[in-house]
Amino acid sequence: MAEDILRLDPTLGYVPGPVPADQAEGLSTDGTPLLLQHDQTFASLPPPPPTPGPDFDLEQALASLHNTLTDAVPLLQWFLLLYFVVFNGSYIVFNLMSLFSLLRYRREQALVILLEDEACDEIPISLIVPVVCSQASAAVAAVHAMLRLDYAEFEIIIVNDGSWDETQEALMREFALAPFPEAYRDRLQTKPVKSIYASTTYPNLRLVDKENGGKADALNAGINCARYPLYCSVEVDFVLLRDSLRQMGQPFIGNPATVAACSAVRPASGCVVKEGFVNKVGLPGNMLALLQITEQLRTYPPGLAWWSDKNAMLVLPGAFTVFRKEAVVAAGAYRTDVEDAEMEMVVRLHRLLRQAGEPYRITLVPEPVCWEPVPETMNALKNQHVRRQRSLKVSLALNRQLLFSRRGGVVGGLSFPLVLLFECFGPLIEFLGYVVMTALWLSGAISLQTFGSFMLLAIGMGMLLSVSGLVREEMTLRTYPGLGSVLKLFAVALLENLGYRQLTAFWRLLGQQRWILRNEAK
Amino acid sequence: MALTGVLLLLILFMRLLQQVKQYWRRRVLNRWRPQLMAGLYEHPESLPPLFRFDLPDFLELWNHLHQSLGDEARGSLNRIAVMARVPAAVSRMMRQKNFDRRLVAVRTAGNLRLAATWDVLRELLEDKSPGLSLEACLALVRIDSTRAVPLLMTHLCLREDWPPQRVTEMLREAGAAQLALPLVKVVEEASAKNACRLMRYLVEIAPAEAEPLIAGQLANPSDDCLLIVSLQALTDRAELEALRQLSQHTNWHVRVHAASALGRLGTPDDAVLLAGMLSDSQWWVRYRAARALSRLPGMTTQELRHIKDIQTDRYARDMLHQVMAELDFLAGAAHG
Repeated sequence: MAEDILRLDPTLGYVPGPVPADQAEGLSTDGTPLLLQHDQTFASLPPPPPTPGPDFDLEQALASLHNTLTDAVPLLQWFLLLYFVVFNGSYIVFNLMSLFSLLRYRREQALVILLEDEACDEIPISLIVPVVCSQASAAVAAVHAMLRLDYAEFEIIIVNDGSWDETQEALMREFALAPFPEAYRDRLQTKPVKSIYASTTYPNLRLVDKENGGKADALNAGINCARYPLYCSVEVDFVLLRDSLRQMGQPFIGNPATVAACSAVRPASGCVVKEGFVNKVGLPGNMLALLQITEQLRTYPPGLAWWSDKNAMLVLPGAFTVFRKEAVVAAGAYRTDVEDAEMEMVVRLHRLLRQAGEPYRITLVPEPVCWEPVPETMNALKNQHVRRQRSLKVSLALNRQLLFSRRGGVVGGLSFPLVLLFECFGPLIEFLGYVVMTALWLSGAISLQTFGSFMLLAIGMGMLLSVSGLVREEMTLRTYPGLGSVLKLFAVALLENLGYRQLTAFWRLLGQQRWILRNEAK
Repeated sequence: MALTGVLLLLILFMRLLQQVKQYWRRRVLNRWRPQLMAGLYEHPESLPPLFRFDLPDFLELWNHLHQSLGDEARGSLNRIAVMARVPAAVSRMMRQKNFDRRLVAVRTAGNLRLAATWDVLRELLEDKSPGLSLEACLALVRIDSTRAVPLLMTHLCLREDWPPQRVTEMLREAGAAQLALPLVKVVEEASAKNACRLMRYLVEIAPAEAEPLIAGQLANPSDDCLLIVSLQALTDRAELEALRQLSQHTNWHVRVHAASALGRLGTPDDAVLLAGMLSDSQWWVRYRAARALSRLPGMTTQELRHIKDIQTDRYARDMLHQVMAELDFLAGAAHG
């Protein structure tokens, strides 16, 4: 380094070139210190020409970075610690608050359902069933089960979204579907509808044959055909309970301002399904499926019952939702460029109805009313997480006007920011937290003790959150019977914090990254 | 970690508690079901002691039997309850904090017609929980329906959170004869928002008494919601002229219900009016008009086809075509 410093000659001015090693340290050749600033000759010299920039010095840069990082480490540590405490702590608090909401809900619900034989007040529901290729047998079985649902008045609209295999033929054969001259209402724009069929044996069953446009487009076509005030989208692999519609329709009877009722879809693996309905609830043998159950108990419903009480339930990914049709039509139908179009619709309804200042209610049905097979391979699970995170980002981004809006109320002022902080940026901070703290420990910037404390806090609070979700479930819904099931779930709730949770955070981060890339591409 | 351990203990404790409760419940049911069933046919001279911890399960069983058996059996059940000193226990339970205990006590007080609990039940009528409040109202109606009517009317207006099907059940139990006139008065005096809801109760329990109100609404509509309820409940052909006028109403929801009512009450002469409604801008008005046309007295398939053929509006023709196909499909499904 000494060679690069300019040599100063009192008589000749500036002489570029290497400086002797002794002078470079501020000493003359005889060992006396150089007093350049007080030298009269030096003072009379013309101003020095601009010095050429030094070449990049990696060591110095690293040293400087090390210094900056050393200064920033305590700050970073505190930020990450605080984030983990606030994130997990607030979810635990929401869990507690929703516990009371759930207990109150169940208490009142038990009184309302007393007269369940009296179906006079039930609001008719249209079930829209989008089908694509290779779903022939699943669709036939699902429609058979739906026809046996315990509800006063409902219709089933199968939407064949451009399948070219035997799916439509199988449905037409099984349910005696014949061409029907429907006066089709194209209130919502969709890909062209080719024809409509009605069953000659089941008066409440129709099939819409249309060009492929994706699930959202199929739902829009189904809404155009729907005759009833309420509707829901039912996947062919959904497994319902006989009284699912009754439970989902109840909030609309109780409060006419209700525009949507959502229920979390539970993992069907492990359940005994008989004639298309869940006959006995059980736990799956597959570890990934088990992890998803505890993940759902930890993440999806925390506080949802409380948020629902405050009419501020914003997102419930992959939910089974019953909508009031006219509200959705007024909101402008499903977006075909959003993967979880129903989740986006819920956020949009919040935004539009808040802006309009209209009384409305979007409510949670806490009971498990719908079950579906969950991914049992790592790749499928990864794709699901990536997809859901992307959908979440899109739903929030498209309705960002709701955030802190004047008329946003609890949704815009509290629910939206918290979802943004914990669900959108959460995976990034969580994943970075683990990576940065590990890197700091490996580089020696923090002690093993500090690193251990952080990991203990992050994982310990995660375990506490997972177990608190299980306790809430035990105190309210008690979905999984038997002490063995509960102990198994407890063990899995602890285990999921040792790798699985961190992995899902990474997958969700990927979802976020893909959303950003897609936006940039646009 | 310690907290997680505490939560595990909590889960285990809750499971244990649940099993103990189930065991206890089975024990109470096994002990008391034979006693209560035997008591229906003979007068027992003595009963086993009813312990405090047995009371909630016993009362649930007692209420269940009370609601599923006839009047004579209810008398026997009441006798057994008095022998087991249930009235005093119920009065105590109604003042407890536990919601489930209060609820079962309120239900028992109503079934036993315990006049002594009237004041407590009146207090519970104001409870925040719609379920408990409604149960208290039902108990008051059972104890003394005449005395309960003013309270019932007041709370019918105030409690929008009461589930409609349970309210209708309660009103039926209270008796249409004594409720009809007060309910008419309440509907007349209610705000537009409440009137619609109350009118539904009125047409449900006392349709005859609702007729003057319905006629009044058709002649001078004050509120669209009330008008729609009136149209849904309309059975009097004397109102046909007013009904025909409403087929031109500005609110399409009203036009939909007017078309449906014309299908129920109309004459063959209304075919022209309904055929005109087939060209309405709203799909539902066109659909209901087509259905109403098909239901008119003396309407045949040939006549419907003729009406369809002479329509110049494509939407009108399509709608009639759809409804005719629906009728064919329905006939096929009925025969198939």
